[in-house]
Parts: sequence; structure tokens; C-alpha cells
Amino acid sequence: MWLPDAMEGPTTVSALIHAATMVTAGVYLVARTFPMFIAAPDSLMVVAYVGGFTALFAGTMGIVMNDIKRVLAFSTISQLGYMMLGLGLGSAIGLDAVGISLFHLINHAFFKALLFLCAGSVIHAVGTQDMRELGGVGKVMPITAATMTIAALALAGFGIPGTSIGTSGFFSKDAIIEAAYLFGEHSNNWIPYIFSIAAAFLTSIYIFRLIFMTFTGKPRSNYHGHESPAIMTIPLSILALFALVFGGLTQTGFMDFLKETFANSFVNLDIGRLAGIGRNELVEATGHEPLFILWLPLITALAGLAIAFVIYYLRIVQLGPLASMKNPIYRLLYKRYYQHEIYTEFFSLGIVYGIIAFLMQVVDVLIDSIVEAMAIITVGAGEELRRIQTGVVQTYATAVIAGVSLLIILVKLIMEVL
Amino acid sequence: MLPVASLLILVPLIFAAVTFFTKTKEQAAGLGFLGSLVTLGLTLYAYLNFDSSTAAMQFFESTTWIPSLGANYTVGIDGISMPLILLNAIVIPFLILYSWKEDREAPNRFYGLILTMQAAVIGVFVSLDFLVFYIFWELTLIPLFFMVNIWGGEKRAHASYKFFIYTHVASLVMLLGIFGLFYASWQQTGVPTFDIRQLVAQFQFIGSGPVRDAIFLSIIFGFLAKLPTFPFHSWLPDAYTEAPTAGSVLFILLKIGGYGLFRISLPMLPNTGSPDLMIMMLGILGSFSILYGALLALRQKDLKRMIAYSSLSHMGYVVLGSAGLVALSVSGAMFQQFSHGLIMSILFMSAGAIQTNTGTRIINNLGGLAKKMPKLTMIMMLGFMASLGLPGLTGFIAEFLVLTFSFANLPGFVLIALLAIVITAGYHLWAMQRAMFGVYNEKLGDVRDINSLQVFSMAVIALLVLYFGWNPNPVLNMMTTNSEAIVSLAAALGV
Repeated sequence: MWLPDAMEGPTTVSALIHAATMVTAGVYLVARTFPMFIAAPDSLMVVAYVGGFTALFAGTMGIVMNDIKRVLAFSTISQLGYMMLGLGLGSAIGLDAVGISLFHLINHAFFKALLFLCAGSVIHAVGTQDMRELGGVGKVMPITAATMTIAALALAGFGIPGTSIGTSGFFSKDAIIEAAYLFGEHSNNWIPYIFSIAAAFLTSIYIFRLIFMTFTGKPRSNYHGHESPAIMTIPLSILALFALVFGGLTQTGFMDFLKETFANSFVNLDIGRLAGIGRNELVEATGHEPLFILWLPLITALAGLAIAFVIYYLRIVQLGPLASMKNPIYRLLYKRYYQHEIYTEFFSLGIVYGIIAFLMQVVDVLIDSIVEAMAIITVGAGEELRRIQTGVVQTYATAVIAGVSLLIILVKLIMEVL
Repeated sequence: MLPVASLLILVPLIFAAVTFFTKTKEQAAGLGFLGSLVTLGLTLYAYLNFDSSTAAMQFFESTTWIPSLGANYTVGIDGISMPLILLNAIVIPFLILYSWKEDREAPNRFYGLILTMQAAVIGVFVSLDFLVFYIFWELTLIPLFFMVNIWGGEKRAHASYKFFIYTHVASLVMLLGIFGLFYASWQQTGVPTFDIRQLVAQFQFIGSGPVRDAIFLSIIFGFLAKLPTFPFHSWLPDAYTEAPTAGSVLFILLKIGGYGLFRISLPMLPNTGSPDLMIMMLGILGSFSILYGALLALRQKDLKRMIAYSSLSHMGYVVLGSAGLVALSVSGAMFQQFSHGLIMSILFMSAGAIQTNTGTRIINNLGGLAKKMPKLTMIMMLGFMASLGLPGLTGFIAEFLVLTFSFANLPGFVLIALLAIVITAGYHLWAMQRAMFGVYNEKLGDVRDINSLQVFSMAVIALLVLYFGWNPNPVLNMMTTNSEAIVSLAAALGV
């Protein structure tokens, strides 16, 4: 909700904070306290559902955004959803959940930082971040285009199943999807798996839509682009290298390292039991996943690539009215499910401000007027009583006579009664 | 050893009397500053000779005053009063420095009243006899009344009378409670006494529960109205806002309501007829004040009024922490008093500087002041961050202690208070952003930054906020010693 708006900041800040460090704090917190979560499987289910839903939900918004940085912002949210989903699968795969999710966190940091920096490079050169005004940038910025394509491939998780050839995202994201499948077999609950596959499909569509809209085709506005200087392209290349090979090189080592860490820092926990729920036993019990399942993430990614290719590169299919504000679904997505209207306008401005207005104009005024009223009554009573003191002797004399006669009558009456 | 407790009252009082007879602004301010420095020196002497490992009274003095009534002049300092005396002694000299260069009519009376106020407030903190306590309690009204009435804003007459009468009526209710306690105890023991500690100890032997409840409620009413808490707060926004800067700071240093809570009400609480009900009442008032003050602060247009409501919100923590009745929650409440005094002094000084230098306090009429007033902005930012509870500054420690440790007994009320934390962060940052950052509002013309004396005095207080935020132990330890004593009383009775 807040992340896309925070993209107003400079692109390098986005790359650091929104891709790599700050936003992942939540994932880290769950990972750190994972033994607590695993002791309460219901809370893990909540984590899994929230994660899976976030991955899908953010993905649907990512496919309609026109601002290059906003696409990446929604992509970040979607990938964070994957990490949460990975953690939530702990009830099926035990401590491996922390491994796959933190591994995705690290890989994601590489390719998402790369995506942001590439976007920054484009914006720096062209001067706009609206993809409708871009197009054909690849011709003038070959290095940026190449590195960003690598990052996109990593994000979409391209690789060859069953081998150790693939981009970073392949090793971490597909591991999460695979784990979701295991979870489905384990508990007969296929929702996380369906969410994760659908989100993978959307991921592929929106990221290649971004690539094709930005780098291919004819320029759609008058811009004077140029390749960025070496000080910008060299970091891009380094990150691209990481995005390409980091996952494949370190996957096994990282998982083992994390297991050891947990075994060392949670001495009192029954690590054997926790790991016992782990993947290996499950795999042994149910046999390896069918080949189809291993290939499915790649197939969906390719399908997404194909769709983006047909629509945004070949431009054979014209979306026309489908992608206009007349289409209610498009409008819903473009307006981000009316989150702004619901949170800011309805909840903050409506309910919270309404309560404050009530407190300010009714309660506070009421409390204060009780106090003020007491003062006014006191002063008023004094004002009224003051009139008795007229200073006219005749009035006093009359009052005295009236009082005395009243007394006499009263005394008489009392005497008679007694 | 010096009779510090008496000297702490006498020195500012004598200097105040002399200050009233000075002729020029420089003489008045200089003499006032000198007086407050001597007081600070005495306080530091007391602080350095203070033993924070005991809850007993130190620097104890007692002289017979009216034997037939059992009224004695009894004073002493312990871990409840020491930090508050320290707070007063530290802030007042810098308050005088801060207002040194301001032009105003009758400076002799202005500085004289500041010192009178100091004497009266310290008098409340040190006195251990209800009669002496009540005299100083009422004496605090007079300087504040004139502060607002003479040097206040447009609606100063209304604000000053309202404050005076409101809290005076509350004090009279408290006086009734004191008399009730006095007579009930006289009946029990056959010996009249006004000694606070003796009467508080005697409280449990008073016959019926309802009578004890009535005494407790009428005494605490005086404290709650002075603190203030919702719904007895309606004098606060007017008085705090209309007062001159020095007056607002003096209001902030008027920590006698919370002090009374710790000194008198909390030890009595477990012995009331229905302690659970009383705790519930304090919990409701505390947590609701926190939320209510924060919500109203969010929508204030006037910077000073916003700070006033923020103050109401912060005072809620004092009540909530007291109601928590765990040693550390009570310490948190005491520390909140200390921390709030420092932080709010910075905030009111900042708001005052903005008012005098730009001519307005309306947040929307300001904007971009950071460009013209960089020094003020830096100090003010620290004050605002401390006020919203940024870790590393004093506000955080107080609120953290209160919330964490009250949770044991009052989880529901802590949840209400937690709601307010978001809003608290919101109104502080939002006000700061609108008033100090962004595009400079050219209508304000050429605005000067604060003068060097103001920078110095505010910076010293800001540094103290930073210091006690990292290392609260110099005052927190003595508070905890005493709060443990208070709580053990409650624990013994199984409350």
C-alpha cells in the first residue's frame, strides 16, 4: 500500500531501501523467530495465506501500471509475498522454509536492485518514467537493456529444471513453488500452490511487458537517449553477474549454513524433531515430485513471456478497449483495488477524522461548557441576588414588615397545631 | 550537613522578594538568574549527597509549629521528590536565560514570580506535613495566575480565571479529603496530626470502606485535575496556550499532581474499600487521556494548542503507569514526569520562539521555517522526536516502561494506549513537516533565528534529554527504590 508511493524518492534510494534492506525486515523477523512460529502451526498458516495472497494481489496490479518504477514496486511486494509464503510452508517442510525464503530474499536483493538501477539509468537518460512514452530505448542503451533483461529473466525464474543451470530467481523462487506443492501433498491444501503458480505467471507477464515496452519497438515520444556513463553501467554489470549465477553457485551451501546456525543458536529446541518434518522425509515418503510439477513454473514463465511478446513486441493483438478505463477490471487494477479510497479517504479521513471531529466539537465542548456553565450560573445568581439590595429604605421597611407578619402567622399556626 | 530541604524553599523565595524591588530589566533578570543558580547548586549538593539505595526520607527536618493541631513543619527528600526537584532546578535558570532578551513590562515582577513559583513547587515536593503541603500547593496558583493574566495572549483574562478557579475548586475538594483523613485518624488514635506519612499509614484503620473510598477519591480528585487527566482537562488548553512562553514552561514544571499521586494516593490505594475499582478508574482515565489527547492534537491548527493536548496525552502515561502497580510501571510513570518536564520545555520554548519571531503560531501559516531558523529547527526536531518516543531519548524510556509493565495487570488499557502511539507519531511529524519544512512561506517576510542565549538554554535541555535517554539510571534508580516500596505495600495486601 505505502511502498508504491514511497517510490517518489530517488531511484538509488529505492534500489537500496525498497529492494534489498528495509522492506525485508518483516521477513527477517519471522525467520529469526521461526521456532516460535513452528510451535504454533496456525500462525504459520496465516503467514502462508497472507504471503500467497500478497504475491498474487501485487502481481495483478503490476501488469497494468505504466510507471516503470511502480511496476517494480509492485513486483517487490509480490516477491515479498513469496518470501512470506515460503516461511509459512514451515508446517510441511520444517526448517527448510527459512532456508528457501531467506535465499529468495538474498537473490531478490540482487536482481531487484539491478532492476531499479536499470530503471534509474533509463530515467536518467530519457527523462521520463512513463513507459508509454518510452520504446526503442534498447537501441541507444544496449548495456542497460542487456542487464535489465538478465534481471527480468532472474525475476521470472528461468532455468532448466533438474539441472543446476539457471538464474538466481530460478533456484529460490521455484524452490518456494515446489515447497508449496509439497505442502499441498502434505496437507491436501492446494491454495498456496495455486497462488504461487498464478503469481509466477503474472510476474513473467509484467516484467517482460516492462522490457518490451521500454527497450523494443519505436520511440513513442521525442527523447534524446544515450547510454549511461561507465560509473553507472559497471555496477549494473556486476549485479547482473550476481543475478545470473549467485543462485546456482550457493544454494546448497546456504541451506546447510542456515541449518547449522539454527542448530547452534537454538540449543534448547528439539532440532531433530523440527527438521524431521523436513522435506527429505516427505520426499522419501511420497517420491519425487512428478516431472510436470518441476517444469510447470518454467512453463508458466514462458507462457507469460509469450503473451508479453505477442502483445508488446509483435503488437499483433491490440488490447484496445480491454486495457482502457472503460473496462471495470482494468480500472479496478489501475486504481489499485481502490486501496487509496478505502484506507486514506474512508478510514483515515472518514472514520478517524470523524471520531476526532466528534471529540473536538462535541465531547470537548461539552466538558468545557459544563465548567463554563457553572461559572455563568454562579455569576448569574449573584447578579439576581444583588437586585434585592436596592438601597431604598421604604423597600427594606416593607420587607421587614412582611417578614415579621409572616413570622407571626407561622408562629400562630404552629401553636394551633401543637 | 546543610538543611537543604528548607534552603531549597527559602533561597528562591528570598531572591524572589529582592527581585520584586529591582528597577531595570538587567537587574531583575540577573538577580533571578543568580537566585536560580544558587538553587541549582543546592540541588546538586543534595543530589550528590543523596543515597538512592534507600526509600527512607533524607535531609529530614522537623520543627513543632502548632502543637494543638498536630501541625509540624516537616520536610525531607526521597526518591520520589529528588528527580522532580532536580528537574525544576535545572530548567528554571535556562528559562530565565531564554527570556533574557525579551522586552516586557514589569520585568521585576516577571522574574520575581518565576522564582516564587520555583519556591512553591519545591515546597510541595519537600513538605511532609499536610498543612505545609497544602499551603505550598495553593501558593503555586498565584504566580501562574499573574503570569497568564499580565503577560498572556488575547484571551488571557478568561484563561487565567478559568485555570485559577478550576484547579482551586479541585484543591478544595482535596482539602476536604485531607480534613476527613485528619478527623478520622484523630478519632482512632486520640492524637491530632497532619503528618503525611503517619496519616497515610493510619488510613487503613479507618472504619468503613465507603468512608475510605470517599477520602481517597476526594484527595485524588485534586491531583487528577492538576495533572490533568481527561475529563478534568478543560482548563489546560486555554491556560497553556494563552500563557507566555515562560508561563507555559512553569505549567509544565508544575508536576505536583503526579507527585501527589505517588506520595499520597498510591500508598493509600490498596487500603481503599474497593481497590480494584479504583485501579480500573485510574486505568480508564489514564489510557483514555493518552488516546484523547493524541487524537485532539492531530487536528489542532495552533502549534501551542497542539503541544498542550500532547501534554495531556503524555500525562495519561503517568496515571496508567501508576495504575499498573508494578514497581517498574510506577517508575516509568515517575520517569515520564521527569522526561515530560524536559521535553515539553523545549517544545514550548520552540513554539514561543516561532510566535515571537514570525508573529503567528498557526501551523498552516508557517512553512519552510528551517531555511530561516536552522538552529531552532535542529533543537525543536530533537524535542519533537523525544516527544513522540524515539528510542535513545527520554520519552521512549518512560513510555516503554509504562506500557511494558502495566501490561501485566492492565492489558486492555495498554492496548488502548498503543493505538495512540501511531497517532502521536503522526501529529508530531505532520506538524513539523508543515511548519518547519517544505517551501518557505514568503508572506512571513524576513524571519530571524533564535538568539544565542536561547540556543544555549534550549541546547542544554536538549542535551539532557539525550543524556537521560541513553542513561536514565541517575534518576531512575532512586525512583525504582521508592516505587518498589510503594508496590510492596500493595503486594502485601494482595492487590
